[in-house]
Amino acid sequence: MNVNISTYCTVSNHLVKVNGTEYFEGAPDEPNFLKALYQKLEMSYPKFFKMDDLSKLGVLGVELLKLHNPEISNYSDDEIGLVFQTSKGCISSDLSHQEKVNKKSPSPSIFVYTLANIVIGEISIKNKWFGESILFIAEENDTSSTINYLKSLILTNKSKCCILGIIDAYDNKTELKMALITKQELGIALNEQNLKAIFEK
Amino acid sequence: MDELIVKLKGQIIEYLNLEDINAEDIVNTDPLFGDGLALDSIDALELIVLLEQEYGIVVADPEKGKEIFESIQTLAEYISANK
Amino acid sequence: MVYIGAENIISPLGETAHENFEALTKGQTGLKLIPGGGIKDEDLYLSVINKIDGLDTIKAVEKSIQDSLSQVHQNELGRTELIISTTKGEINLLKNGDDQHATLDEYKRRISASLPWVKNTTLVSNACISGVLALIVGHDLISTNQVDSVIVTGVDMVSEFTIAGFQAFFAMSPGLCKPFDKNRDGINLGEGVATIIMSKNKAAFKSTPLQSLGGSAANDANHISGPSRTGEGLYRSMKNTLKNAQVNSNEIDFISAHGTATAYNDEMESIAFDRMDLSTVPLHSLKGYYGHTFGAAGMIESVICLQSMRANKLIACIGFEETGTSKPLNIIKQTTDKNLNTVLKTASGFGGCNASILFKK
Repeated sequence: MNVNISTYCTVSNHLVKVNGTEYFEGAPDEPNFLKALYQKLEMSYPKFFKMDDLSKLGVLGVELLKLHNPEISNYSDDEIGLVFQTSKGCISSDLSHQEKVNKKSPSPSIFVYTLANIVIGEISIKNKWFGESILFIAEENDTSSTINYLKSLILTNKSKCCILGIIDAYDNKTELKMALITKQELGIALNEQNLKAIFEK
Repeated sequence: MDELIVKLKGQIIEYLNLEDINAEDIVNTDPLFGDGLALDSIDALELIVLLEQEYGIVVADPEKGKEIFESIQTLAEYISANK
Repeated sequence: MVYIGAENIISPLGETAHENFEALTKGQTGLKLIPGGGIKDEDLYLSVINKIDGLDTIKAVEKSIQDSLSQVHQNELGRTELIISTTKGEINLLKNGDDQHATLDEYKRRISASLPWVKNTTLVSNACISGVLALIVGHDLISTNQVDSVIVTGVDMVSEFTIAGFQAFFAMSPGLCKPFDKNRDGINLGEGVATIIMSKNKAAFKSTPLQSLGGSAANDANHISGPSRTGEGLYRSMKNTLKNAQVNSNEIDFISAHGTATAYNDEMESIAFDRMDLSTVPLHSLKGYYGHTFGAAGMIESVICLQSMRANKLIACIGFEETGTSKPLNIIKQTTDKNLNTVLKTASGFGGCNASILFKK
């Protein structure tokens, strides 16, 4: 059995692709692209609007994977591991919180998002997933640690499959690369080169 | 009081990022937590921030928030009494 | 087999694991009253090495790692990876508008630059379970033969940034924190650094190491800041950890719990331990000594687990007086001797995350 890349999706600024094929493109001047994608996905999840952009992006990514691979729901609630990496993490929320701190009036709903792993919490809550999860800090193109740990989760049977997420949302940057990684005979083996190749499609 | 209630509804929608909810949708006596607007514990803390910033009212004990934030009506009454 | 040892702690209680452990056996705490430490100048109990926003974490990390490395034969480590555990790194830089250096990827770069001999640096930032999770990552990378050894360092500082946030959450105790106690009323914040080395090579350690049996993480899937009312994530984490290590609940001699001393967290933990049939196992939280040190917490507390196993000593849970959870626990009231073979370390944090790991003699 190999550890292989299954369904994958990318969000690069306003362009959304699933398995390399365009799914949605937000207008370049769309100020609320994430909301537009939420509407395109016909979601009804009021909590979405309380999230920071990092969490919104992560939650939307998982919906994209589910839409194109309904088999994800065949896994039981703790068989799916969430292995994410981010470069700038929650710097947007950090800056918002710091502004509030400078005014001596911190906001709990901003502060809670100053932990980048909240995106994993939001995904877990939305999908009722109780499995393994972890957030690494790494440059977008440095996926070695994330891949190594993800493989160990599958090889040790701690997770049956994993969702790999490479995520960043700050300033005007909205970048997501997400893939379902499963154990199967055939498919594209999970390694740095293959990941790079599929995500550049 | 009515004026305060209208203003409060707008502020709650803004502070709590209640997208897709209009002020008219919020019934004055409906519970804010649980069934009503389905607010949670972070929202309750955020309402404390709202009270301090918009009305200068300091709530030192978050447990007290449970009674104050029961509904828009109770919240408005509390503000009127403590402003 | 994954061996674990060469531990270090840098905290207000000392600069080596031994100094810290000795201080704990004497009941000393790093917490002290800092006048005007709060966002609105409230007095706060904090465990700070220097002053708020004042810790040079990079220097402290280097020092901690150096001390750990002095306890191993470096040429026996083989392929080695450095794993950093932190929630906010040097977030105090943001105060001066320096958002370029305040990010964790920049922090990781600065730490790597100070340790040029390490080939690969990994940074885990997973709220309050970061430290335990970093140890689990280290264990799994070694057990799946992807590396031979790991150096795991946990670090976080006391900053105005974090103080303000927890004050907004009404999570801070006005006094000294009281883990699991009936009158517990919130956390104290603390800072520190701790390092542990894990290796598949027993001979790499100068003094006899202990063993890691690995661990597991699980999410509550319930709320981003409130602990689960049923302890679901922590329960599942412990269940998987014990199952994977083939250890039964009745083999556990001691639990180093998270015990932040907030009403909901400690209650949640008691329910999870009860569900695991662990409520009679001696248990403590170290928050009364170190405060909550976030990314360093799981590491500092794991170092004390290792020290306790070496000394066969249970450290008292200071701050605790009277049972205050719906499910009673066997809280260690006095520091006492006990033969410790198998020890469970747990942690829980924002984002609904939970983790646990087992250590064995």
